Amino acid sequence: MRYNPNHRRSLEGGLLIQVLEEFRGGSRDAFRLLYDRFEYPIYRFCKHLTGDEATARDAFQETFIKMYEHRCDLKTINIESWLFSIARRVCLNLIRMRRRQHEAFDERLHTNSASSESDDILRDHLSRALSMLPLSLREAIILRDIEGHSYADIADIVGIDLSLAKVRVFRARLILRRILSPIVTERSS
Amino acid sequence: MTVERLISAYLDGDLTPEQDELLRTRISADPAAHEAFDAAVILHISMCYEDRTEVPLDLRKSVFGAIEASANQASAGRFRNIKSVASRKFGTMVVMLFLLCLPITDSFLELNSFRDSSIFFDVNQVSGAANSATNMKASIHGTGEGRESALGISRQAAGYAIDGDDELATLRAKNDNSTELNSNQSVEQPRIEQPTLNSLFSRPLPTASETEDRDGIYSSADLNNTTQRTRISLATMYGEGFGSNASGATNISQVAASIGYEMGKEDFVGLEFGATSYSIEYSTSSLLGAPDEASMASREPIDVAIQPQASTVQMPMEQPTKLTSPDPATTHYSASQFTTSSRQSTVWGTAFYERRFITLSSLSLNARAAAGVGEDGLIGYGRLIGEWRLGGVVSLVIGSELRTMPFRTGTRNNNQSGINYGTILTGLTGVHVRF
Repeated sequence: MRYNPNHRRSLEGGLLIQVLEEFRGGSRDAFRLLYDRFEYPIYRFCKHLTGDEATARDAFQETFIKMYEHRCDLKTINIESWLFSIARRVCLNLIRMRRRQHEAFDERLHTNSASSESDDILRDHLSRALSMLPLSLREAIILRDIEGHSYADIADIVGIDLSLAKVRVFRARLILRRILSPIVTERSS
Repeated sequence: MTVERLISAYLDGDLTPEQDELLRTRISADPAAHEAFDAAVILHISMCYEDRTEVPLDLRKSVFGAIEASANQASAGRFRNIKSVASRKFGTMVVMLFLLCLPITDSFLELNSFRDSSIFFDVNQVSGAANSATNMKASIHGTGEGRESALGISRQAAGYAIDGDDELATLRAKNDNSTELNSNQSVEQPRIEQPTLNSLFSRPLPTASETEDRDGIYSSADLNNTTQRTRISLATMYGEGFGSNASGATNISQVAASIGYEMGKEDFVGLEFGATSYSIEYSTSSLLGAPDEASMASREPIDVAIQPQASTVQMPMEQPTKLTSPDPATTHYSASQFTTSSRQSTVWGTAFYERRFITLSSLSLNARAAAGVGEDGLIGYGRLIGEWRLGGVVSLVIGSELRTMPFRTGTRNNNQSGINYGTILTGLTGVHVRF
């Protein structure tokens, strides 16, 4: 498992305020810092939400370009929510544009694969299962369980009530568990 | 609360001690609940630490390239803003110039009734020099031609009390007697000390000694000879810049069209509109830093002790103490220098004064001074024009011009653009039409 801690919490407090101030002024260096801070979570979010790497690349690029172009619209210090809301809109637009159909239910998810004990296989299945979720549930559970956002942030990013955000995450977890139950049961046993 | 709710709350870390106890009880009592709990935890952990996703390195380059392009577009957008502001100023200035020129155009609009206009001038002259019998005859002739509209204007302008052909006949009869007409006896005409504005654009009437008095009354041709109408000059010009002191501005060319009105024998005033285009070069450099592949590969993965019972795992943090650039030891910088040439165009309008200095047969030399505004700021120029009259009303012109005007500049590194004034020397050719 590879993980770069600098990409999780490298901009906080006064430093973040300073960076945001320079970013609003058009500073490329500030943009680079924000890019370094958010490139992984945004890319991950785009990849999971779109379920397609090529679309995720496009969404990722467009997200950061929009972030720079609309830097003057950033009124809050919560750049993370703002950036994720941009990424969400971009992803949804791309998904709509490409009219990507949900993949047919993969029978392999219900087979006891010999390699189902592998984490990699589980993640692959998880990725497929995520792509089967309705978009509203998918984005909620990605933001909550993969990106670790609070329900308040999810409500802010998606533009829904806090209670609805909780409901969506709850439903998404239930559906995911049902989809992946054969694999997970096998693994847990 | 259902088991599903309890499990979800557990994953969120929102369980109260009582709910935690309840969940434990249900899991231990119900195998299905236990299975659901295990599955939920496994999935949750799998999602929380599904961390293999790496951002492709080429994405960074493409994103920063797109940002550069976006910044350049923003720079162009700033030009558009400059243009919009300047356009409003330009429009305002044009309106003001036309308002200032209204008296001239008033005269111009009367050209279709040119003779009326000349009579109008004559009457004014008469009113200014009421004791001149010659002038009086001219005015009487004008009314005798039955030009009621002109006469009406004259009456209004000069306050005459002439009423119809009876008095006119009286005046004509008196004039036929070759007696010097004392206009004060037959026509009540107040003296107007101030000449009207229109009279500024006509030559003074010839004196009695300068004109031939045939039969005591001027013919229509005489009238045309004794007054000068307002002449109009139309011109189109094309120019190529010979040189300029504006940094980076090259390949300067301009087109212009003008309309002028003759104020005196050799003087013209008018408006000129045109467009100047030029190429301008930008030199920009950019420095992009990206972690090298060796650095990326050498990053040590962090072993996180996963505790299934914990809903969140604290990661080791590194708090930077100041705003720093990427670590130069592990960052590749690539410096790029670009020289970009872009074509810029600006429209402008000026008011000019032109005077003819030298006239030799069909050749003449004119000088013109003008000031006005363009899209990006004020404009002024001086122009020397040689004119070769081809015959009729058409002339070929060639000349040179020294013009000071604003040039656009761009410094893309700072995402700024601006205006610098420069002077250009331009060679001009064109066509004049005077009528």
